Amino acid sequence: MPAPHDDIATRLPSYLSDRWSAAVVLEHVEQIPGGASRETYRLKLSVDGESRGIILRRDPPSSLIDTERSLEYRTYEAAFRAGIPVPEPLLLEEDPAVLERPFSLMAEVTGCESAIANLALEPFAAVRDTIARRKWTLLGELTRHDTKDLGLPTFMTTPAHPARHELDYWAGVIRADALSPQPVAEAAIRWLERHLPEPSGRLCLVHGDYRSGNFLYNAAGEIPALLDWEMAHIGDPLEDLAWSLDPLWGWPDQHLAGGLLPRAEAIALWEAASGLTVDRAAFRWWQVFASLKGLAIWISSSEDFANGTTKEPILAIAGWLMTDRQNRILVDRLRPDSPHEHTEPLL
Amino acid sequence: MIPRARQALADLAGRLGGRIAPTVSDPYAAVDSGLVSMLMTMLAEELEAGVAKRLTDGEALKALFQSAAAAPDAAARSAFTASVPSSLTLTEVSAWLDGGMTLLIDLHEWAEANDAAMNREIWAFLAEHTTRHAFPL
Repeated sequence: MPAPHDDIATRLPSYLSDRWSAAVVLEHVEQIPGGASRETYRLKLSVDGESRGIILRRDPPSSLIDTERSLEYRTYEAAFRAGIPVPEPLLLEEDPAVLERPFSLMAEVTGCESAIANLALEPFAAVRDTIARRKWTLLGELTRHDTKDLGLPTFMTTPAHPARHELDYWAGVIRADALSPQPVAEAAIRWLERHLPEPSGRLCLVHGDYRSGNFLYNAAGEIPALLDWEMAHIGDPLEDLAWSLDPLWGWPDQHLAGGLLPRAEAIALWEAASGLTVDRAAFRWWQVFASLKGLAIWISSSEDFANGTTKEPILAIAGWLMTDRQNRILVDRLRPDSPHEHTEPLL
Repeated sequence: MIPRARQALADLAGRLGGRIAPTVSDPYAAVDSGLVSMLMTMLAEELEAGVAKRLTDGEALKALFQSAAAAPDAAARSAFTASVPSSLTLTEVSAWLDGGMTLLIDLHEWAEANDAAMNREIWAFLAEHTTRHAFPL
């Protein structure tokens, strides 16, 4: 049985030699664990004799998140141009003839970690609080970039009503992909329909999956790169903030956002960096929405595992374990006499 | 035949995760082995308790439906209340419960607008249901 990256080793060097008009030799390739939406590989290339670290992301046969890879790649380009910390995008190839499925290349950001569990270990434990504060400061700063200056409207939809747009999309995902009836999700959708906020009037680049694990950090307490922009879109600034604070990311600790900071402190950092004040009623809506969107992703991954061509175990675990947890979060958020075992009362 | 299926599956999961995965040199394959081990542990629990949990859900749904006579579509709920799964396989019990859950969604929507007490009862059921199916991981 061929290794999953045999085709990369045999085909990529000659392809890159043509694209870059350079002598390219593949020195090392390994698949990076945890890439549920794209297959991710770490490559070491010699380009005209110079060693370069490269990250290759390839569409999998099935994915946790069904997204347009060109939108993701162009988001990296826009962010990189604007000085937002992201890996440098190098190349997008959508012709499946090259490596069987579309792929992109980015420069490797070295000397970093992404696993949040490592923040408990030295040398990172000493800068854990610095990294935590930087996480929400960066998110606030992200809202200050004008979407037109970033060039986003040339490849992203500008929604007239961001909340309406997102709810319609993710409710649609749940109804298309659910393998069984979803009474909690349906109750949440009805609640969101009844409490739909008016557009805030401020639009920004929404990362779409801003959480612990989707950024690189180093021992100096810096966050040199934000990763996994596959769900990026133009939307409401509160969307990313609510997603980053979902109880799932700190599970089972319900007091620290993303396992890092008290929620109130994270919100204060975001407000200071964005120059925005959180509208409590609107934020309440985005908190419930964040949990529903999570549930939609986990339901969709169940469907991928059941009916897709790949049998990545992460799809089944996410579709099962995370669905259970996200359902409990939503029940805890929405039941009239909630004891708030898993969530803080809605702000 | 392995008469103690849950124990066998859990033991195999432990062997895969504890003995085999740590010796795998390829990082991706090592993580993959760990995930498969975790999934096997979850499947062991489901194999043992999946039918029982769903039958408990079904009985709780029947009690809920019996107190909702005033809501629309009472005949469909009565039919579910009078029904049992066509067999006790996990597949058949799941299909039977899915029918009840579909009726619950409609009842819940009605209760939200018309019956606050029923709405609370349904949320209490959903809280018990989601807790019952939670994995202790």
